[in-house]
Amino acid sequence: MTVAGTIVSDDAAQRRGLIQRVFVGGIVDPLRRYPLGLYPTIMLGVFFFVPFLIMIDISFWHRVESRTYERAFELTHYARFFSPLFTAHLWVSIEFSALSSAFCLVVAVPFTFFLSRFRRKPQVVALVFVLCVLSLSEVIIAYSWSVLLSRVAGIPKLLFDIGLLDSPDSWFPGFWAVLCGLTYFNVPLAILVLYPQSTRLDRELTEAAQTLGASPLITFWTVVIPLLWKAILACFILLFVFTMGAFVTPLWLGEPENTMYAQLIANQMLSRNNAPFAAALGVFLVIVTLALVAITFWLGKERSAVAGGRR
Amino acid sequence: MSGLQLAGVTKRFGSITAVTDVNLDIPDGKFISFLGPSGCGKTTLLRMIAGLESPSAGSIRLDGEDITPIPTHKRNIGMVFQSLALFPHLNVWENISYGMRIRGAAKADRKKRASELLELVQLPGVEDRLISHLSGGQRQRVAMARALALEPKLFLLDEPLSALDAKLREEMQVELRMLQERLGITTIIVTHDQREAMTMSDQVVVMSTARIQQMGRPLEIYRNPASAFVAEFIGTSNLVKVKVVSATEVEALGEHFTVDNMADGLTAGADAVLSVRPEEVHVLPPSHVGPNQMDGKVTFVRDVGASVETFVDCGDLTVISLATPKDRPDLHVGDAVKVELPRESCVVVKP
Repeated sequence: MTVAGTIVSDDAAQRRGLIQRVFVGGIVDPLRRYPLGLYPTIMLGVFFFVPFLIMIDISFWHRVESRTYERAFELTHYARFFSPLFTAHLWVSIEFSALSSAFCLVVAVPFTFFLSRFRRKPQVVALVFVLCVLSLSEVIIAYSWSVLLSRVAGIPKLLFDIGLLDSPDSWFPGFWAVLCGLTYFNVPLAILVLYPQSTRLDRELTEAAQTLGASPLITFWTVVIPLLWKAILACFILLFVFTMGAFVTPLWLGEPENTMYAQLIANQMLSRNNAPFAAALGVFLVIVTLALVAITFWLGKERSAVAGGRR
Repeated sequence: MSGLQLAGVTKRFGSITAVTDVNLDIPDGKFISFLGPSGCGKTTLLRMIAGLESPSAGSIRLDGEDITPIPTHKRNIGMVFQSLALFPHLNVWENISYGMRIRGAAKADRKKRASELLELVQLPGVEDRLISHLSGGQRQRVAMARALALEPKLFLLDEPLSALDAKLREEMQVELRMLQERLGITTIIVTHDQREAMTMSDQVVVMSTARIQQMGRPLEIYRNPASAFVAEFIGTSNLVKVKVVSATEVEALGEHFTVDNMADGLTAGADAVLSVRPEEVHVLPPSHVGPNQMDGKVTFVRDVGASVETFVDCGDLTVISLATPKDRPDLHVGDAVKVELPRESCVVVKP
C-alpha cells in the first residue's frame, strides 16, 4: 500500500488495512446509510465507550506507596478479586439483585396485569402515581424505609403497640431491610416496563380460558404468565442490572456484611484512594453483569424454543 | 324446564343501554342467530349468556337453573370468539385440551380427545402444529374443536366467520350447521350477515337499538317482517311509504294498492310502509292494465348471470325487480314499463 508515494512495510500496511476495514465497514458505512444513527453513536461513544476504555486503562496501572499511582500494565488488581473478601461481596450483590428483582416481579406482574384490565381513567391515575414514586431518589426511599423499620416510629413500634410484638426491636440495618428497600425502589420501574405488553394482551384470550373452565387465578398462571413471559424476563434482566449498581440502599439499610459491589468500588476510590483497584472492580462488575445478561437471554431463547416447539 | 330462558335481561354501561328488556325462550338443541347491525347489543347479549358480562337487570336460566350469578368458568359453555382467541403459546392439541388440562386429565386422554375433536371438525392430523402455522379456516375449526371439547350445554359463537373470505365463509356455514345437527347442541351465533343467519338457524332473533325486533323461523321473518327495519335488514326489500286507506288497501303516489298482509294496529289514515321483495315484483309492458300497478321507466339493468335486477323509476321511488335468467325480461335503460306489486306479496308494516 502506498501512501503519498511512501512505501510502508507489509506488516504495518496489513494492520492499517484491518483497522480501516473495521472502522469504515463497522462504523462509517452504516452511519452513511443511516445518518440518524450518528446521534446515539456519539452519545454512547462519548459518555460510555470512552470512559469505559479509560477505566480499563487505569485498572492496569501500578499503585505507588499508598497514595498515588502511575501508568503501567500489571494484573495485580485483578488477582485480588479472588480473595474471599471480594468474592463474598460479589455474591452478596448477585444475591440481592436476583432476590429483589424476583420479589419485585412478584408484586409488579399481577399489579400491572390487573391495572391494564381497568378502565382508562383509573389506569392513568395509577400510572401517574407510579411515575411519582419512580421520581423519588434512592436516598429518600432508603431513609423512609429506615424510619418505617425503626424501633421508635416504624412498623415494629406499631405492632408492639397493638400487642403483636413483645418488644419493639428495630428491623434495620440488616439483610431484609436492604431487600425491602431495593424491591420498593424497583417496583415502579418494573410496572412501567411491563405495562405496554400487558395492555396489548388480548382480552378475549383470558375470557376464552374462563369459558373453558379456568378460574381467574388459573387463567393468570396458564395464560397470562406464559404470554407475558418474554416481557417478564426482559424486565428481570433490567432490574437485575440496575440493582447490581445499588449504592445508597445497602449503605443505609445494611450491615457491613451486606455491602454490595458499588460500595466496595466507592470505598476503594474515595477512602483508600486506590483508583486502579476501583477501576478493576468496575471492569469486573461490567463483565459479570454482561455475562449474566447473556446467560439470561440464552435461557430465554431456550425456553421460548421449548415453548414454541413443544411436541 | 330445559333450554335457555332469558327474562327481562337488561344491560347498561353508564348512561348507555346496550340491551333492553330481552325475553327469550330457546328450546334445547336448536340453532339460534342473534342478527343485527353493529352496536345493536347482540354481542353484549351473548356475553351475558356466557357470563362475561353481568346483566343490570333480569335473569338467565339454563336447564331450569338460574345461572345469572354463576361465574363464566362454572357455567359449562363453549364459546368461539370473534378473534378466535386461540392461545399462541400452545399448539393445536394443547389448545383443544386446555379445558381438560385445567381439570387435571392425563396427557394421553387429552391427546386422544383432541384427535377425536379434530376428526369431528374435519381437520385431522394437525395435532402438533403451531397456531401461527394454520390458515384462517383451520384456526376456525380448531377454535370450534376447543369450544366443544368439554361437551358444553351451550355452544356460543361471536361472529366467528367474519374473518374468512366469502367463499370459505359459505362453506363453513353449511359445515357448522351440519355439525350442530349431528351433535344436537343448543347453539347461539351472533352475526350481522342475514344470509349467514338464514343458512344456519332454526330461529332468527333480529335486534336493533338494544331491543329484539322480531324472532321466528328464517322464512317466516323473510316473508312477514314485523317492521320496516326487519324488512330491509333481512334480504333486500322495496319499501314504499304509504297511507292506510282500509284493512286491505293503501295509497301511495296517488295510486291505490290492495294488500293481503296488514300489521295489527294500523288504522285508516295511518302512515305505514309497504314492503315487497324484489323477486315478487313483476315488470310488464306499458300497455298492460291491471290492479296494483304503477308506470315507470327502466333506469338500470344489473345482469350478473345468475339473476337480473331491473331498476324502475316510478316518480319519487325506485322499485327493484329481481328475475331469474330463465325469465329474463327483454328490457333496456329508458324503456317505459309498468310494475306490478302483487297483493299477496305486499306486507304493510309500521314505519
